[in-house]
Amino acid sequence: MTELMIFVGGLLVLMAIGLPVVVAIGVTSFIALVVTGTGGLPVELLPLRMVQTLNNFTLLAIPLFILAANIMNIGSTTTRIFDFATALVGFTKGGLGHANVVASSIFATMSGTAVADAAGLGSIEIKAMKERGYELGYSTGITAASSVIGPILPPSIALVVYGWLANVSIGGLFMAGLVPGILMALLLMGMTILLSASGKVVMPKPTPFDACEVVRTGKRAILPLMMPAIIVGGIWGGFFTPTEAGAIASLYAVILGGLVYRDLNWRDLFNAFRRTLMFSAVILLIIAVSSFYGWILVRMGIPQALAGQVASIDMPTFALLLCFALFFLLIGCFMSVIESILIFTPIVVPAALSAGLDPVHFGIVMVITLSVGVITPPFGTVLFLMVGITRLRYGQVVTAIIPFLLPIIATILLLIAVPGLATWLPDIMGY
Amino acid sequence: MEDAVAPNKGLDRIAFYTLRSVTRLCDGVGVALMAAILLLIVAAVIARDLLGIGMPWTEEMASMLAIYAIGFGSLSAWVRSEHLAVDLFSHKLSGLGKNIQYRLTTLISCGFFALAAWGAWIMSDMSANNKTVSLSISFSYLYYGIFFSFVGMALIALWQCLRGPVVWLEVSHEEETSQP
Repeated sequence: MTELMIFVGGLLVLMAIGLPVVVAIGVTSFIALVVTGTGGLPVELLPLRMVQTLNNFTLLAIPLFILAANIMNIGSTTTRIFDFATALVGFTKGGLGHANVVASSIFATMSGTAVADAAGLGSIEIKAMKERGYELGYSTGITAASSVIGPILPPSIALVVYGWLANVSIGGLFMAGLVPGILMALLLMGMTILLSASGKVVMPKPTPFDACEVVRTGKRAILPLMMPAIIVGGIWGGFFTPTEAGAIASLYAVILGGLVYRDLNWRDLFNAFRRTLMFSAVILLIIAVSSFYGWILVRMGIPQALAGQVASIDMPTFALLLCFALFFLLIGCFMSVIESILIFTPIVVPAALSAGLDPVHFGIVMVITLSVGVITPPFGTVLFLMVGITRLRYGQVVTAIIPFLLPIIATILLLIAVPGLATWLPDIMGY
Repeated sequence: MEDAVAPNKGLDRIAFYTLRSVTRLCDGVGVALMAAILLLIVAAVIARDLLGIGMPWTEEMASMLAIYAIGFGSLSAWVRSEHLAVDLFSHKLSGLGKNIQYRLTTLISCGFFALAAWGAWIMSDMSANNKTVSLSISFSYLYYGIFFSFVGMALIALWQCLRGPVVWLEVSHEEETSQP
């Protein structure tokens, strides 16, 4: 346990002094290697582990899905999705709030990250809500909260990383994220109804339902709406692997923007590829160096020792999972989802398995709880994005999000109490 | 960096133009590699599912290209200061404190990258006869991808440590907010 404290504590101290995460992980690993080794510093072990990790076809899903999201964020695709969602549910009280959640859920099935949703759809959603007379605080809160659905619904980048580290079927995890993602969307919509009914947020009068508008916007959005079906259907039908699904999704986004809608030029495409390259390189380099960190952890016997201790705790699995969830909620406030998964999966998954928890269920709980960190202070990425989009003060954005944390926490509690919410779909689909 | 103004004279001006060229080269090559990966995988799916032709070597090739793409992308990201970091207190530091923190972190980074590059060089030598399954390409080439990236980042980090924070490293706001 002392070694674990030194290992994790040392890493946190190095990150706190401002070292880039990849360097902090690498330096901690080298220090641990020197302290626990038999003398000398076998520097070749780091590149050895890195190449073993990066020479992996599954991990290519990460840049490919990010590329698909970046291409979809250019041009009119996101506007088409939002217009359709508005026509579909905009007639209800707080209609654009519901449309916001529906559009984010649809976009989540193409992008796989919360930040892609907030950066792409967020500005469109907030602008539309402002124009219709919605309070800026409410618009900000619902936009930020609905982006948390991104890392839960397939194709989630966080689930790809977890599945690869925990040796769990990524297709199975994608299916497992569907029900909790939809549940979170419904609860967020429920909160909008509650806020509207209580009169705490003044909502503009809804526009009447127009079936013709639904058909018209539906026709405009039909091609982007087919992307989730292609991704999920392709993986489930055995036509392609998750990585290949990412490539097909990217190609589909290029065809939509470049040939069908003609709002994607070569310069935009190059910039989308460049942004993807930059972001993916940063993430994948961290993943590669983290594999060295994970290897040293196992070599030091830390996960095994922790698993033994957790297995000896006389506690119902529900309570144990709740403790894990609280821990991940806390960690998520300070570290990004991917970093946390990389650092903690090798440590906690053996412990969770030894305590009898299902790895798929555990993975979904882990990803959802860590994802809450994107909208909580002090380092929530989406919070900063919202400050940039709305020009509200940081504190105002945080306050606006607070009511929407309740449905998200309720989703987590329900998921912990009812494992079937995550395991039912993968089970019936044969994963 | 594209919008940054070049320093007036001296070493910083040379570094500005050198790094801008290196970054543009890394971007161009990285994007070309990403496009190649995309096309390879799509071709493999079409060949397998529509034409019934297996192309198992594409997975190996795509993974190999990805290592080089990550290398070029990491180097470019280092120049742009886009590597993820947790900013706990640096915004509260004075000018001198920020300078010391900057030089300390770049010094540690330089040391780490140099060690990693050294390790990659050793591994490239040791793996010369270790070949990939489908294409029989030496694993040395995979380690070269990592080696060049780490050497590049070590050199830039050393420069940053010696010269301190320089304006051309700042990323435009538009680029920051458009990341997924």
